[in-house]
Amino acid sequence: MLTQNGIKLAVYIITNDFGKLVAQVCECLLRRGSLTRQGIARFAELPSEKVKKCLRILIQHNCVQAFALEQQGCGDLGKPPIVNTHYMALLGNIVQHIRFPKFLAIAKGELSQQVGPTNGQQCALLLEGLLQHGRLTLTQILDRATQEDENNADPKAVRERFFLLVKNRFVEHCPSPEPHMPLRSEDEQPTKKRGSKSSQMLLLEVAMSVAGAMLRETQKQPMRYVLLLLDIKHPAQATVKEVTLEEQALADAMPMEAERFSIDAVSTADTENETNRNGVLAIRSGEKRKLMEVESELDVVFPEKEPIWRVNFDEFNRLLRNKACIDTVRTRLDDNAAKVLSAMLKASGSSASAVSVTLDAIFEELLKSNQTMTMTLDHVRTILDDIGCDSDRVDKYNLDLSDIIKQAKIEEIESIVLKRYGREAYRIFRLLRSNSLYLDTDKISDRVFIDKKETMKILYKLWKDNFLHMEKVSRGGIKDKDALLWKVNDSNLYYEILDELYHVVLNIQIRSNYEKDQRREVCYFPEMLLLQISKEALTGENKTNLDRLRKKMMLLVNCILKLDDALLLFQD
Amino acid sequence: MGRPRLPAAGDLKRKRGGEPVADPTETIYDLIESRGDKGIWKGDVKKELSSIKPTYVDNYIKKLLSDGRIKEFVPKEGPKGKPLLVAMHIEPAEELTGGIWYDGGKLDEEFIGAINRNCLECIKGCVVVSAADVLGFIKKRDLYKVKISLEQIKDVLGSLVLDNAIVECRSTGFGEFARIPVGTVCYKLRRDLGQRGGRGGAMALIPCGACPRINQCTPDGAISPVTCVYFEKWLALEF
Repeated sequence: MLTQNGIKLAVYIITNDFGKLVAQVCECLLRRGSLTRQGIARFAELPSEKVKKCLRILIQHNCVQAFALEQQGCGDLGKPPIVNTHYMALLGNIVQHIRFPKFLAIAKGELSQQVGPTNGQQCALLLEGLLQHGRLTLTQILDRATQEDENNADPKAVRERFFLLVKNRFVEHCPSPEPHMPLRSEDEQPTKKRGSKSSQMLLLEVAMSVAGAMLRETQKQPMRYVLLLLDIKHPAQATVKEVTLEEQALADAMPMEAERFSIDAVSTADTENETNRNGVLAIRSGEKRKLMEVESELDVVFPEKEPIWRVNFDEFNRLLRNKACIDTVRTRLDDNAAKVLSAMLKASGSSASAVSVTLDAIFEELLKSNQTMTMTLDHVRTILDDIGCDSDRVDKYNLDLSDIIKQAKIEEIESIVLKRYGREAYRIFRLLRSNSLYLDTDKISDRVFIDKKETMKILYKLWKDNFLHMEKVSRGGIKDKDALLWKVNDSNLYYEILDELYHVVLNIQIRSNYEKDQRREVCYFPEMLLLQISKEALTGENKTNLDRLRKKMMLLVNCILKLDDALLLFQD
Repeated sequence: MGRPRLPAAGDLKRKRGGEPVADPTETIYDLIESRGDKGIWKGDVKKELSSIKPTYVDNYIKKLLSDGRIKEFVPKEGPKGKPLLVAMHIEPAEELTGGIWYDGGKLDEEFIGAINRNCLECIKGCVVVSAADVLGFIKKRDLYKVKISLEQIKDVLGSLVLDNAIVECRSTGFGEFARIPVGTVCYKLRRDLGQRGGRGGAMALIPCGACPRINQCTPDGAISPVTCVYFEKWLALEF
């Protein structure tokens, strides 16, 4: 979700990492949406060459995605459509930069369990290279490993470690550099599916015909047209979900699942004489034309035979989300419930938010992780019910993680209300949150045991800050005042809190950089240089100052990591 | 100059004969009684009985109060401290008095606090309790003169749930719920009672989470993370 403070945070991160010029281009894309290179040059008031270089850096670090958009030419309708390369900034990917230390810690932890601590550490170093450089080929990764540590630079070992990262889905193929977005003609109709028509198929046909009709309408606005997709969970509750041009471009750029983590292309690309073999070329033949187009646009040279790899943010975010769910359950219930949920998520291994596992699989996973477990099957069943699982079959349990995530979000919002407005406001907010209907002031005052005038003041404060929604209802009588009805402002609240979280993370980043600059002044003050004293040899007040600064930095970094946990939930 | 003498019933007889005028005290009492448990403001009495002088009305009402035929009560809503009048044998409506939770028109926070503490004590002792268990516990202690009903105890337990001090659940009939019938609403203490009121979110850890000036805070503005006094105090306090 794009928010004002989200844009400011992204610009700050890019400024810190790549400089003001690149940040200027990034800000232009974030504020104005997808633009061509000429458009960026115009709005950012920069020469085209500089914009090109900045875009190369941003694409290299997965902060920008290009796509080729086909547009109807001006003037004579008989002319062929024009294809322009547009660029869009990816706010989500830019903000991921805050999470890089967590990604490394997760990879090290997971891989150490599989291959031992030493190899786990080495794998994490390979991942660090990808995080630092954005995108690399395997050759570049091998070269880097050799330069960093000659002792552990056996190419075969490095390759094995890299394959382990791919197997665990921590790295993936880069998306297509420039997916093609064709212009749809008015006559084009969606194809119908053959075979017996289930209710889902019928709904799909209806929706596709509606989509076709809407597309004909939206041809009038060629720059931004929408596609309608069916989001069917239950046939009776099918909802039509709008997909923007940018989202469609991102979806098209993503390689297919089989290709995304394919290491066959890597191993065959390294062998000699592979250029003569069709179908084993690492890059698909269709992609070569697109690569050449991007080459001409940005003068980038793509390595021909090797796929390019990048860190798979989705997998790390999934693991972090699972961890957040486990922590929420641990707080709400107990450690045993956390262990059961952890086992359920490991047994499932699915990336979807809905998980479905048998009791046997959960129990097996529990035994694997804890040899001295004393929980019985009945106990595990009770815990699964407490967590909120439902079972449509004997011993098969389904859980929607989005419910747990929603619970965690609500707890975060409630803690903000408690800290900012006090205990009484907290009670009022929880009362309104537990009721989906409107409540009037008198009823609220009675339920929470707060004086009515005080209740009114608190409700007004919460309403002013967009936590609540208020409706005025006339009571009918001339003498009677209008009744005020209150409800939690669900529609906007998550957006507001996300924006605030971005704001707070930005504040902490700015403050921690400020403290770092202060520390630099202490570390390099002139007496030290004159007397050639090292940091460790500092005494007295200087040592105290340095220690204090170091502790401040640690506190601020810890705060960022905790805020990022909350940010992950609200970005979901 | 002394208080004007209240006209007696006979003084108000019409000189030329006819029916005797009703005793104004009785008229006022009848009016107050007719309003039942809703009561009536003094001002409304004066309006209704405009034939009697307002100063006389005040004096008649004082007489009725001193005779113990009517009483005053301060409603929980309405002008500050201004009482309503009601007949002595009638209990004022709970929706006006606020019930046992209000004393003299104000929320009796001390009493509510005491009931809260009793409820928590009962739950601590028994691990899992129903509302009936808590009521029994309080009645056994016999600490309060007022009669507390089951509904009122449920209201108090409800506010403790909103405070996040206790958790509401339903009895399954097994384990710790064995003595409570299946499906009965029960209450137990939160596991992390040390973090009462929520486990403390990320925003609550830093000054920005509670800052009243967050909307005016910008990276380069007068209020910024570098110049913020709350940040300075927070970092100074920590070390």
